[in-house]
Amino acid sequence: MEELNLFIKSIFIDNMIFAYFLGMCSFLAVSKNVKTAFGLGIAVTFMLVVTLPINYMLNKYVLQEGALAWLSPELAGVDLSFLGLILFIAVIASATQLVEMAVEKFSPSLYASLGIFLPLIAVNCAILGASLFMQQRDFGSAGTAMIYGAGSGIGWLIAIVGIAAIREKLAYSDIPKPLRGVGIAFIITGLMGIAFMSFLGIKLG
Amino acid sequence: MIVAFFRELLGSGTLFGYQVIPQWCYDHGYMNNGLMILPPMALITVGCIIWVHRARNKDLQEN
Repeated sequence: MEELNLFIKSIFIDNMIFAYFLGMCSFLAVSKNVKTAFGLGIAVTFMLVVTLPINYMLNKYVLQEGALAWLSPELAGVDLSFLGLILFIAVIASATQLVEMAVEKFSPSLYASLGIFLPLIAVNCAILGASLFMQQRDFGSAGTAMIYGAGSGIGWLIAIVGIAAIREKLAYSDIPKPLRGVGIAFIITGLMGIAFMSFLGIKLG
Repeated sequence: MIVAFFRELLGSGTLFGYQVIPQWCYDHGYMNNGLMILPPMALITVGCIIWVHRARNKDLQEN
């Protein structure tokens, strides 16, 4: 039951884009087209689901304070959590290589339409941010961390597909010339952020 | 700095912590816009800055 609460909370209330504003570069750049946006959202969700349990294991058995006790008792006082940032980035970068190779093999059209933004998932702040949040909160097990990753990824996916759909429909509207393209995307993202703030009052268990 | 200028001025009536909007404005019914302090308004403010910038500099506009 707690897992379901965590899942729903990380999709709507702790939405990576609208509550924490992480992952904005890819969000604003790829959201011209719903198919590409959906493909990128699925790639980010897959990355989160794969890297969060690995980072959880790394954190629990190598990085935390007193985590190295399983190697030898005299290492029990060692606290390596400052290495978290660099180790998480290494894991995320290698997972991004894997995802890029898989996408190139299975869906060359998606690979071509994403262009540079597929390797840029490696520095997508949403993925590193989820790992760093996981380091601060205490999850019970790697499974819970994976559910948190899946929820964050689906929240990111909903956000980017939502704004891609709005921007596609905007092609038929009469926007002033200076505002077309990036300007209106910023304003829409701000308005969606205000809308998602309505979820802040929900208490889940 | 530009975004912070507008958000702080409209959101709390101060600039660098120094109260700028005089008290008689508040007495006549002006209230601080609490929405400007919220994070999404920064995005909308940047959108407006892009609007002004591109209106003045025509070759940055896209069609």
